[in-house]
Amino acid sequence: MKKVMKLSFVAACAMAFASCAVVSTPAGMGGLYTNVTSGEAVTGNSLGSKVGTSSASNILGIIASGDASIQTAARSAGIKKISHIDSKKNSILGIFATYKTIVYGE
Amino acid sequence: MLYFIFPTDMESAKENTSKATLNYDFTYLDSQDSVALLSTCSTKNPLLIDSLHVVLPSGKQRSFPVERIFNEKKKNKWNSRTRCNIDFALWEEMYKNEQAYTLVYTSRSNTSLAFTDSPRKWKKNKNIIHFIQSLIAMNRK
Repeated sequence: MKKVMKLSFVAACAMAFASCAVVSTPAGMGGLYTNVTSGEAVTGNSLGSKVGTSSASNILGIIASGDASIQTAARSAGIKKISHIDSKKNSILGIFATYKTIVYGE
Repeated sequence: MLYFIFPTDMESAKENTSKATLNYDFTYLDSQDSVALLSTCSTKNPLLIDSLHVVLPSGKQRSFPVERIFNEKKKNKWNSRTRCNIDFALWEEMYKNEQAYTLVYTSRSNTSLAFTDSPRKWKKNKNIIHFIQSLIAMNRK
């Protein structure tokens, strides 16, 4: 009986926290798994040869932290002129989600 | 065409006297035919990295000057962000072996930090990058 109670408690917790760590995408949100890369912004500069990234993450919808700013991504590759920006969103079972900013430029 | 391999970690080699971590990524642009290796070395003390040595399992070693992008303090660690251009032929050679290559960063103060992949991680990374290199080779003009 105790084992059943324990398992029920774990299942209830899993259901309560499921889908809390989610990221929305232009293709919608995957209930089980999301892995979408999409465009965010474009400038009039020609396609760059440098690529920089920054990221933030979310655990169970309880703790969300990180630095997914464009500045950090540009700085990481020494980019001074941005050509365009993409983002990559990943989420697994609503338990762990990440958002990556990808900056291209020179 | 531009190919970008997302940042991944490499383990500190056992011979390092101080703790350090490495996070690196590759960017290849077909018009330049060279690969930019961007890396972040996290160390306890600040480090002015000025060169990178790529050591292959066969013992062959190539050295490259390194461009410093920035140095910053994050929490209780110092991050050294650097860029190094390596030629495509060497990059292909790095991923042809069964054993992992070693990256050795050296600084002006003669501090040396070595990083290499564990056998398990090497097997996974080697297959992925080898596939990307094949794509590049097929699309080269």
